[in-house]
Amino acid sequence: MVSHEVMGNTLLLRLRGDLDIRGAQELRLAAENLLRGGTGRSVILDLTGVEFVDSSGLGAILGRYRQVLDSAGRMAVYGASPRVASLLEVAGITGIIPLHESLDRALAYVKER
Amino acid sequence: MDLDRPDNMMRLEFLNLPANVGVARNAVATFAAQAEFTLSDVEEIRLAVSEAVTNAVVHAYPGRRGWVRVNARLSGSLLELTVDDDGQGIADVALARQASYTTDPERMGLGFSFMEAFSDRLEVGPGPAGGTRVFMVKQPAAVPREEGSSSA
Repeated sequence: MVSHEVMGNTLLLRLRGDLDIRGAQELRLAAENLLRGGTGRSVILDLTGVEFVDSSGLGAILGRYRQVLDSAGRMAVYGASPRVASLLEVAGITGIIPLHESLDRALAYVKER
Repeated sequence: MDLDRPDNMMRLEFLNLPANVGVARNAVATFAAQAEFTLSDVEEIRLAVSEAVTNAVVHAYPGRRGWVRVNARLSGSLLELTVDDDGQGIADVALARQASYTTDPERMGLGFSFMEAFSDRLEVGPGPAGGTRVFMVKQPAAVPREEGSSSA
């Protein structure tokens, strides 16, 4: 469900499947373990493989944003399907965590600081 | 309910485990796909079921196992859903239904807002045998929503 890659100061989390209560727990655990180890200060979520998101998943995304704020990093999301993107928008998440079209754009965003 | 001739019914019962939330929403979505719902309707049903079942899984039975039941009933193109548990109930339904009300910083408090937004009718309260009952109705977007309309 969650795999990761470290790119300098940035932690890239690639999610697969459904980001519901179960996926949310996996995302939270992965991010907490990896960020505690000082793996990166900014986080990029790759939602390319995510087919479904509900409010538990949105909560987990927002939880990672809070975590990143605590370590003075930035957070970006890319690869959201139109359906997932519109849910993020309805929930007001895109106002604080911008959606990007590609990993390159997301990386450029978290580095611009 | 004035529907005395359901075309199909389904009953699911499962433990309050996070893994079962996906089982329930996918089963109901597959069940609903028999009717004239659009893909987008089915996605809304999937989301509404996910929220209702997640609530039962997270809140009904603090620290213990318990059963969650989903009943789905299709009459013509009308889908009626109930999600029941035998848990502790919701102390203040009006408060719980407020947007952004949550008991957990990892959650957004949008569960009931989503259920309301993605169904055509939502009722939340105690079940007939205690616990909590969530009742939702969904009609295909294309069907006129006047009282007494029939598409069968």
